[in-house]
Amino acid sequence: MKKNKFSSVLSTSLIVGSAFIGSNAFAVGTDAGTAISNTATVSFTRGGTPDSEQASVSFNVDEIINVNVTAANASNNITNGDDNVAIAYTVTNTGNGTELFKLLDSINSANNGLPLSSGDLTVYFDTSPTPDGFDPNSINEQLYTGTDISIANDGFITVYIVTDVPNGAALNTKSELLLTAVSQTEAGGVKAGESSFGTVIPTAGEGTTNAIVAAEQGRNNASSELTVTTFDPSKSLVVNINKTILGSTALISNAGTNVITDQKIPGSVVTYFIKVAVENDGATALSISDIIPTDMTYIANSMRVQDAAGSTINIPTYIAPTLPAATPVTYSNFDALTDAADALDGATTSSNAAGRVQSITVDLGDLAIGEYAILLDATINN
Amino acid sequence: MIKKITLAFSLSLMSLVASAEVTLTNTVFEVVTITNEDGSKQDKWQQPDKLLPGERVGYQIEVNNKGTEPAVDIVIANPIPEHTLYVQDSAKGINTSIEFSVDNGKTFAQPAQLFIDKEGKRVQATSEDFTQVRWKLNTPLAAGDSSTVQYIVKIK
Repeated sequence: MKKNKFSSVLSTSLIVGSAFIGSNAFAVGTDAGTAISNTATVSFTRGGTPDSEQASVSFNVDEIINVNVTAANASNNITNGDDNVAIAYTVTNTGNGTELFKLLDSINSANNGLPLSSGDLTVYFDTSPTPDGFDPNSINEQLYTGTDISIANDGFITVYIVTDVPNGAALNTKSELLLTAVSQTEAGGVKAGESSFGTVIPTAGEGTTNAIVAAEQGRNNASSELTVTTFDPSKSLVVNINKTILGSTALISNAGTNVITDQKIPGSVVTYFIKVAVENDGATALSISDIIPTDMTYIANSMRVQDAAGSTINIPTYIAPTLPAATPVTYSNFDALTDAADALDGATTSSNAAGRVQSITVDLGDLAIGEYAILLDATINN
Repeated sequence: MIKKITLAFSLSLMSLVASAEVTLTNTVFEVVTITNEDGSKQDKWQQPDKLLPGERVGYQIEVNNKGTEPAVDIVIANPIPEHTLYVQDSAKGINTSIEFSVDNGKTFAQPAQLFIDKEGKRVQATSEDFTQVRWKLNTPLAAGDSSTVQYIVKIK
């Protein structure tokens, strides 16, 4: 039997290479699921009689899973303390079928000088074809809460990663933020988002066509950098110290009669209240010192501290010490400190050669934004 | 080997008209480029596992004279499927004259003789303008013989 057939192209025993699929190489083409049918006709004459036959074959176009993420700007200029800084990205479905995507925001830990933490970031998205920039009050911007987003083939969404810039971020410090979009297609336990480039997922495409992963791990990402190019000192760390007299008590004795007075006279025990306010940014190794006036004598072990993180401190109500013992009074929320130099509570006194305490120091260490306070007592010299 | 492959294709991607003594089969393949051991590249026609925009699809059309007398004046015509473009120089057929149409089969000619109107000007047609491909067998097909032609399209 004679066979004019191109059998050689079918029977070659060659090293089988794979079809070349460049990442993002396809412009979006024919929609996935489209039927392409082909009908061939043969006409002929046999025994003097014309006749014809037809043969048809059809297939459906399979689905390309591909996504492209770009950042509007490679770098963004910011000022320390800026609120609601929005970094814009565009997520484009470069496949040929409608696709569900999940968005992941992250910080490049190797490039995070501001610094930011993942909890500082909020993601918004805008499906309008004409995004007009980030505005948290715009109806176009939707808060992304982890629900998958459907993007039509050749369609795009605009995504904003929004953050506040730390008050203490120094000039020229940077943080790099990444947005990743991940295809959520899966079938038969094979997930596009966990598949290598070129993986075919049977029946996962439009109309149960096959889907091919044309983006490694079914995802793409883009990064954008925040750089502090303007430093606003008023937004950086401020420590305010305010020292007031909480109250004083004196005991006047005459011929067996004792009178208590709040007048500041020699012998009065004066209670000082020092409030420390840490604003805008946390403080590192904060230490408070206070000089005891030359005409006053520090009462031993009278330093008391309130140093719970981030608290607001109201001026306590004065409680008069019992005289003449003048034992330091216990105030609620205040912890007693010791004067001993080797104590671990951070409190020390500094004395002159004669043994007179000239100043006290309290090491408060690293402090978060908030208010802190110290109490101490001293007697007006007779 | 060939027989086995053809059998597999017949399940899903081949249609067969067996009502007459002359039969026609139309089979679709995925055409991929493979690299030989010596680095040269070559097309390989394989069973489709994915048919995607930008990829090439090959059609093999086989005419088979199962009758007892020869068939003459054999012409195989095939419209280029919608959503695809003809790949230049891909139509082949032993002992055939191959012609193309750019007007949906009203007229056929060699590529050099095909023209289209473009912005009011008559210009040489390119392979992407082809709407049909046609093979005329130069010799009769004797009883029991078959002949196969083929061409390639690219999915838009």
